[in-house]
Amino acid sequence: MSKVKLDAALLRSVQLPGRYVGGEYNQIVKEEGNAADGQRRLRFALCFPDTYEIGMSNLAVRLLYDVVNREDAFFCERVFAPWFDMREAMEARDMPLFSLETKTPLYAFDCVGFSLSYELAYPTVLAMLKMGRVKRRSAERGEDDPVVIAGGPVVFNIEAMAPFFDVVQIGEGEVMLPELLHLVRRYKVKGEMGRAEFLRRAAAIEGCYVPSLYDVSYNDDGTIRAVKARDGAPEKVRKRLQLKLDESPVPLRPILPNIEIVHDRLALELFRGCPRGCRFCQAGQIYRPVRERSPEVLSKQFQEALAAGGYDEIGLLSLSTSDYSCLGTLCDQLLDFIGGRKINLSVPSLRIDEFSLDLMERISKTRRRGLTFAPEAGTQRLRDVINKGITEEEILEGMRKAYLGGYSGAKLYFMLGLPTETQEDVLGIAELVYKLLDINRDLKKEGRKVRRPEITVSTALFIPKAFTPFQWAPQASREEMEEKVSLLRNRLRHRAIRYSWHDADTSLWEAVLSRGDRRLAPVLEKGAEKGVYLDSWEEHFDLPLWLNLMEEEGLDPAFYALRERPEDEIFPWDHIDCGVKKSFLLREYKKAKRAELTLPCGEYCSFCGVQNLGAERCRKGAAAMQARAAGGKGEAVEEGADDDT
Amino acid sequence: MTTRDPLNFREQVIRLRLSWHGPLVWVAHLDRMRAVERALRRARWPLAYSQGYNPRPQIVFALPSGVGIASDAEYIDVSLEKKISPPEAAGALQEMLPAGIELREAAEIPLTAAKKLMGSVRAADYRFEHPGIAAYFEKILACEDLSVMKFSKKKEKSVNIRPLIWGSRILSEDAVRLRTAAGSRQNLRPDLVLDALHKYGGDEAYLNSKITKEELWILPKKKAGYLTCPMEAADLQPGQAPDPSRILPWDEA
Ligand code: SF4
Repeated sequence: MSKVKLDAALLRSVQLPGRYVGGEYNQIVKEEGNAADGQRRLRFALCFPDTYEIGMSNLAVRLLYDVVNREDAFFCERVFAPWFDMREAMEARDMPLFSLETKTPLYAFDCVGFSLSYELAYPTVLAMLKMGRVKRRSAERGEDDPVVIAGGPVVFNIEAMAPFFDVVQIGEGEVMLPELLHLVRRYKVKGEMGRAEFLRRAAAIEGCYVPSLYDVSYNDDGTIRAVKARDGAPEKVRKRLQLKLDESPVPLRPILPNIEIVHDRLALELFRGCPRGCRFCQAGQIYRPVRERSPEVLSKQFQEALAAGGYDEIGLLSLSTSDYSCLGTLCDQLLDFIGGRKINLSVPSLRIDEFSLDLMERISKTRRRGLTFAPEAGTQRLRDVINKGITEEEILEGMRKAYLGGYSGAKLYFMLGLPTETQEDVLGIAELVYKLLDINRDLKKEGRKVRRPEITVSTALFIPKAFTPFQWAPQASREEMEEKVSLLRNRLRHRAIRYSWHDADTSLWEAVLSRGDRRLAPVLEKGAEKGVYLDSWEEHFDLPLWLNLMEEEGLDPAFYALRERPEDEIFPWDHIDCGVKKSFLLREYKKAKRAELTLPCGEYCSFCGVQNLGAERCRKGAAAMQARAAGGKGEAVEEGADDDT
Repeated sequence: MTTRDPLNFREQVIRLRLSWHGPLVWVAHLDRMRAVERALRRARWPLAYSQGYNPRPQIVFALPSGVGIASDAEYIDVSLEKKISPPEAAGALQEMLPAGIELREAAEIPLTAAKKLMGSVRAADYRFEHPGIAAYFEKILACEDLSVMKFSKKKEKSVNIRPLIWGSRILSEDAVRLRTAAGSRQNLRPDLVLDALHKYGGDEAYLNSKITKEELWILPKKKAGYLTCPMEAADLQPGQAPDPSRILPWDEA
């Protein structure tokens, strides 16, 4: 198999050549030659459409690399997007995109898989295919071309990229990906079937979506008329889920990156899913139900992986770490273990309560980190709309304790442009922040020792996502967004406050893509032809270009992003079943408009659609409801009354 | 006011000599430090940490290598909080090093010698390899002025590197060894030599040369009058004479 040769002059001419050479400690290279069954190993390229530093910090990449390489029949290698200078140098030398492990060009793999965590990376995927000399459209690829697949959180609505992938993995890959790759091997290595047959069979694997087997028709107004499955593909593709996380392997020999990456530490995934049900959050819906790893399993994992890696930092990773039911036990074990070993523990975004502050205190014996905190909205009403179950008192009290615990302040995350947001809500952010400063002043007056306050405020712009209660909601226009930002910026001028905000241009484009349909594919294709690459890096993002290309295709960004969608509209992603039902999401949308809260899973159950999977947390929620009902509180169970599918 | 020795928490210092080839040649000095630190942690060496807010292990490279420089002479002093036996610990470390990196020697050195490693470096030997490179070296070494552009901290300035080249030896048609100034006082970055080959030799091909740091030369004590390689200095007991074959006399410098 032909390989790319990286010579010294090339490596000397680019920044951070360590990105391209591979050879890291714990990297896996399998000898060429056959697997135990006497047939060649399947060659799989695991691609991440961003730089080495970002790709190597991604937990899914590490997990899948490990899972695929565990099997003797597969050899999985990594491919990342080269930085601009390297890309140019490669072009000048006519060098194709290659894998880190063996420097094999992308086109020479049996299967090329992209892990997608954000929509803005779509153009980079197309650019990488081109650099790797792999035909772009599924329909153009034949028997000699690699099978191109994708997975990751954004693929729940992958319609804008549908023509480019042969198979898309909906849900969690650790079991589904090996199953699919065995099928690819029977097709590519053993020659048991042709491409058409392979695609049909792939569609029969639970969670595997074969876009070419679905025909989409549109109404005159541009909305979807119908999506019809062909050739025996299921009408609805059901999300694949790993119910028992303890049975899911984790990398025990983590690859140690050559160069400094974004998160260079051992990441421990405590649980999947999130019990909170914030209404803007896609991850909180598509990873339902909550499933935990046990502290025993985690503790074995971290001890082994730390020893095999030599890390000096370990990080807890989950959507809302405070909700891990065994956080106390686990942290005791962790702190015990790392105490004598000069290892730091980093814990992300805890809720500010007694327990967390105590924990932070114990952690900070080794190293003090800033507090971060995500109220998301400035007024109680709007926090209720988005179901952020946190009250102003809790925030204020938490901050008071933090000041007394020696913190000078916190970093606060908010979202602007949320559904129903008014000027009052925007200014509410500033009011809240000033209250936090007042607390500091009052403590000082009382003669308590507190540090001079410092509050950092960061606002992101709300982006409605598929499979959330806000999938019907409009996004605020760029003009509105800019108004809101400048309104807030004026209010936050204070020496103790630092304010940073997110760019409105990328937010609009992301909103278009995330609820987009297949008509966007030619737009992305033309963008790639024009050389768009790594434009998720803000300085390279060019909104006018995308708007022009949309216009050329007769598409209107407002249609995708800015209109409120009617309740009965068929969405481009309706043939994907993420577990949670559309009727539940709609119920939640209506509750949002009434600013009504929904309690977290475990304390309550909304029968969102995944209740029959038998997850521990769902059982707890249902039991808690029953107990309350028996206690005479007369809880409404109207929620369970859905019978749609 | 009494000043406390900031390193008084260490029990032992081990001087390592590593050879450094393979993919990790292409990372910068800080990345090399991290790679060694992690290998030491995997090998469970009882690293001594600095005190204070953000404790760091005390791992000192004699002379940082730039991106793209291979080495047979990466000298590193590692401070330990407990005594270990070098041969055993060396075996453990050897197994934990990334591909291309090998432990050549490990020896205990006096605690007093350890602090001075970086400051005592005076010269380095580099081998340049490329087909036909010797002829070009002959051409450029005849020049008195080899001025090339040097980029540092966003500034760019022209430096004449010729005076920093102290000696040369043609090893073959395809390989040349240079002895150059090195260390904190005067230092020649060997990749600048490639720029000179390009600029004064007129051939871009030499940007592709392989550069290997072969040996380092340190001043073993103040006014020693001779240079020696760091392992030699590590072995020296007070009053003992160094091995004459490994001494670089001043006049050759
Ligand atoms: S079934 Fe109930 S408890 Fe389970 S995820 Fe859905 S709402 Fe939460």
